[in-house]
Amino acid sequence: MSALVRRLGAPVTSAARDAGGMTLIAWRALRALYPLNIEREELVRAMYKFGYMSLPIVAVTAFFAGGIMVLQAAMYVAQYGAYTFVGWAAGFVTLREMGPLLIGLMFSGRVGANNAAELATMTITEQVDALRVLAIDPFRYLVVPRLFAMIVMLFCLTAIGDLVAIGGGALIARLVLGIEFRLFFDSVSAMVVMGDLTIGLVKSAVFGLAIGVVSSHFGLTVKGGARGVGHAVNACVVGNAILIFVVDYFITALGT
Amino acid sequence: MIRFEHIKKSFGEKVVLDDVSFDIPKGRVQFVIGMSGTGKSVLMKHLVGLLKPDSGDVWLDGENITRLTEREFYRVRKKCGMVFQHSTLFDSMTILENIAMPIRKHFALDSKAANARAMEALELVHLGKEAKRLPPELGAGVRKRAAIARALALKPDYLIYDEPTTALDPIAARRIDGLIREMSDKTGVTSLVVSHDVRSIFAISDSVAFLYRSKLQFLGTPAELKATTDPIVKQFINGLSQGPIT
Repeated sequence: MSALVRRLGAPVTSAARDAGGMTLIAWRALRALYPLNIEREELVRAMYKFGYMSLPIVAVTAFFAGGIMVLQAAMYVAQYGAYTFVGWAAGFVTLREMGPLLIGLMFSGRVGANNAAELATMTITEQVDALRVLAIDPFRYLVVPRLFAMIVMLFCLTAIGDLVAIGGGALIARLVLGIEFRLFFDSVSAMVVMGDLTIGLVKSAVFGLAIGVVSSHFGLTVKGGARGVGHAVNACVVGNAILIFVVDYFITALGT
Repeated sequence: MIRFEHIKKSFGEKVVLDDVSFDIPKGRVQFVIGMSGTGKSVLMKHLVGLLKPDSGDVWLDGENITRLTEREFYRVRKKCGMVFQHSTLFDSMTILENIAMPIRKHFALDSKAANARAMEALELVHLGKEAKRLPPELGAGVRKRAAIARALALKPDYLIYDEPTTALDPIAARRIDGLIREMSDKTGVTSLVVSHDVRSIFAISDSVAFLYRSKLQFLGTPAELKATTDPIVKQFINGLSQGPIT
């Protein structure tokens, strides 16, 4: 009986430990905001690595995502002659949902997994302990700058990705449906409202926070050697994907 | 001075340190020796707050540091440097950056001044030419010297070396021995060396503590170690496969 309870209880205590660890990371990061105490050099390095280096992959993804949305709609648009709504549909879906969601998932795979692997490797090779022995707080030095870099850069990448996706949609609409650019963008500007953009960008910032917290937690709590690093990265990718959809659902529900 | 007072430490069922007590006066090169897994590194980690004893006390310069918080320990760590067994340099930074980064943080210096001071530390361990190299590009002996430079650059009063000659070839090992003695003589830093390298002990130590089965088995000078009649210690220093150690 006790073995059964232990077996059933182990995942629950593990999940509770993870939830507690992540909450603690978010709380400590928040506390670093007042008084503002972020390692400037590490912040710049992280912003470059996470943001600038992710630009090409985000641009390509966003361009084709915009194109796919128009392609999917093309058949019905042609059937009903709803050409004036194509720009609105592409803009609305991109800004509110597809932009932040796709770019968030892409960012999680590229940046979150990388961060978890790097922190996990630093932990098992005692580099995190070496920082502590050098009287440098690993949380302030490693976690806080990366976390804020992820929030800021995912916000910026989503804004850029939105523009590229709408551009991609416009190009595909022109090539496939023969819709003039002017008509497409008139439709976007007339029917897409500021709230659509705002809600998408709020989502991206919260996704950035979630990716930073989850990847840092699994990176810093790694156990064992190479297998532990693999497990940390795996847990980070899965955890992030789940958290992104859950957070997306609640923000969408609140925003409608 | 460092004082270990009745230190007990277990990991689960396994008792690693059992009532270990001894003092380390300032300015010494103190070796802590013993077989693998006898708690040598564990004992040293208590000094820098990476581990806490289950019972007993650790004293540093008259202050009981046993129950300090992580934040309070940062003050102690500024006095107490550590060279890890695997050097533990930050792989994404050059050797110079590895040393300059903590200098910048501790002494609130700009990059130029911190780099200049880091270069001085590198010259001290004869590594000036390797400043721009990344740790993975260097051999184990060179990485170890860089780690010593990083610890010394913060001008600690105490420096812990965790297995400094393990995995090094004999020539590199003797060079590290020479460096430990040289740094102690030049800077006056108290050196605590965790090791099972018998040649190092007789070459550079002032005092030796021998841990066996979680307890302090021997404490004395290298001459006393050589002259001991304790069969356990004798077997260890002579590297004999036959004897009380099984």
